[in-house]
Amino acid sequence: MTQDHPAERYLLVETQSGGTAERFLADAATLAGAGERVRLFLAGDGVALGIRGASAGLPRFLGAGGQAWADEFTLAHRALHAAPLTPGVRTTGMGEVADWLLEPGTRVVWH
Amino acid sequence: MAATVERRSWDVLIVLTAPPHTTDALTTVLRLTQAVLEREQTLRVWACGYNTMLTQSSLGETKPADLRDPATPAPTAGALIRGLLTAYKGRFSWIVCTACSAERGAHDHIPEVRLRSDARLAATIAAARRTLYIGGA
Repeated sequence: MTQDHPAERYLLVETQSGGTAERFLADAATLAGAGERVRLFLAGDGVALGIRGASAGLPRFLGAGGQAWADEFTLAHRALHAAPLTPGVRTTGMGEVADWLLEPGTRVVWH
Repeated sequence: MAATVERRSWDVLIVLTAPPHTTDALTTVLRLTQAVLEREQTLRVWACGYNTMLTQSSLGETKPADLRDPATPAPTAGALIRGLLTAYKGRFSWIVCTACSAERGAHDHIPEVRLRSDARLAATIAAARRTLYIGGA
């Protein structure tokens, strides 16, 4: 990223797991690696990606500078609230996601 | 001087095409909707596909919560949507796509929702400051 290109803000929401989700995470890692500010929210089936060791792409995304959260409601709904998360993954609720969504200039992609 | 029509703008539009009852999409959308409305924002949902069947009057107010405990009632999706429309009157709107609804034979909807032709989708998007598309093609 050059200095004349201010970082874009992205909110990426992953609600699936499996192959397409891993491709989504690869795109997220590319964005983060390019210097963009990327928040990833895992919800629905996507919370499975946040369990330690479940995803190859998530650690790469975090290593590239991205930030990731898992939906605390979904984790509880699936009895995963005590499951070990990938280091660096935090939990949050829909209120914070709404705040991110409403931030001016944030680009949102929902998968 | 020609009269001008002020079009209302909305903070958020969610175009929901992900089918209900197969994933958590509807629940997630309703949770996000409530969170946005609690922040004093305005929001519309454009319900496409099978989501147009959720607000049929015939579905009533409650459904069995759990087959292992059928005596415990739970609100239908229509009741939840009606509850949000009542609690956030004027700041929340649920739009039913008439084409999708007619294709599925869903004609009798709860009176709180709006029915709108898919020919109005572009104008609905234009009236929103932010559009979120949730679902497949």
